[in-house]
Amino acid sequence: MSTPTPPPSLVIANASGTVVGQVSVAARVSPVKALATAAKGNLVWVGVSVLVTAAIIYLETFDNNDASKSIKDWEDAARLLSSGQFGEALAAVVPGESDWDFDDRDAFDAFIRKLNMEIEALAAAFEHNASTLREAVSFFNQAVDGMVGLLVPVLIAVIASIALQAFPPTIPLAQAIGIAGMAASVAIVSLTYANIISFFTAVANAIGSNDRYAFTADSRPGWAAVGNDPNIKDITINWVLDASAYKK
Amino acid sequence: MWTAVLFGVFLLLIALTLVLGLFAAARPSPGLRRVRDLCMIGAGLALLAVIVERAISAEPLLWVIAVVLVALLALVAPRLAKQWRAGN
Repeated sequence: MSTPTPPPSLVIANASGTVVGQVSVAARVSPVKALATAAKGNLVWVGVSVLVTAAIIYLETFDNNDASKSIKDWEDAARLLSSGQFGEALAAVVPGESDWDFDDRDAFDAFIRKLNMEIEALAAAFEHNASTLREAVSFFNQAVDGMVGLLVPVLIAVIASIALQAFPPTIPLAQAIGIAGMAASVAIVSLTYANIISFFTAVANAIGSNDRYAFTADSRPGWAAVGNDPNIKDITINWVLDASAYKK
Repeated sequence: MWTAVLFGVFLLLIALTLVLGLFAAARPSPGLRRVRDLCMIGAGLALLAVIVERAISAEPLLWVIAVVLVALLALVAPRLAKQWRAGN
């Protein structure tokens, strides 16, 4: 009988009870131990992998709900102002031709026409803001989807390289894959982030600081010249031709 | 907006960690390794702040990632400190 292997070991016996072999537990678990040692020896690489993964998850959890709510608010504002709601109510308010046919009726009609056009312009501007936000959300989602698509194979290679660290012949290969993979991951995350940030800054400028953009470029009232600010705040009501007629 | 800046800092630090790691692998020196380790820990702290802010304001699920990050820093930082004291 051969010398027993040091414990802990498993003894293999046949049906008649004769010992036919032994398996050393220590030998079997040595790859796992080597893997743990490799992880301990590469604390910084393990840390960087976890950080990059956390950063990807952070970018993935963009608040779609908040953006959707904002889009819905702009759409609601456009719907309530446009012909469906406010426009319809305004049309019902205007008296019929037979009820009011004084000289000032023409001026009043012109005012109502302009007011309607301005309301339509505002509604179109709101709708424009909603669609800009929709574009921003879909751009962000596409960017992050593309990033994840690129990163998954890279990260799989990096994880595989941690396993390769456990075996001395493959350690240099593992380190090369690990470093190249982490560098590629960081580059992809950085590029995606830069891309997203520059696009969001453009959107924020279009909607936030330059609040005339939507009116002058896309939704001027029918009577305003192209490229001019229609100055929507200055609605002049001049249909009272004979002001003294309304005074006691 | 400070979260965007902090995330940029995180990306810079993590890239710096990789570059320093490469140099440290090519020419081992304790000082270089310490700077590399500090960069990694700094990147972790920056990302932790960004993630905690997002977890509070919008996405409670990110608390899970925050806990993982805290655990990572709690496990890695003392071990790195031990390696420093050992003179590696």
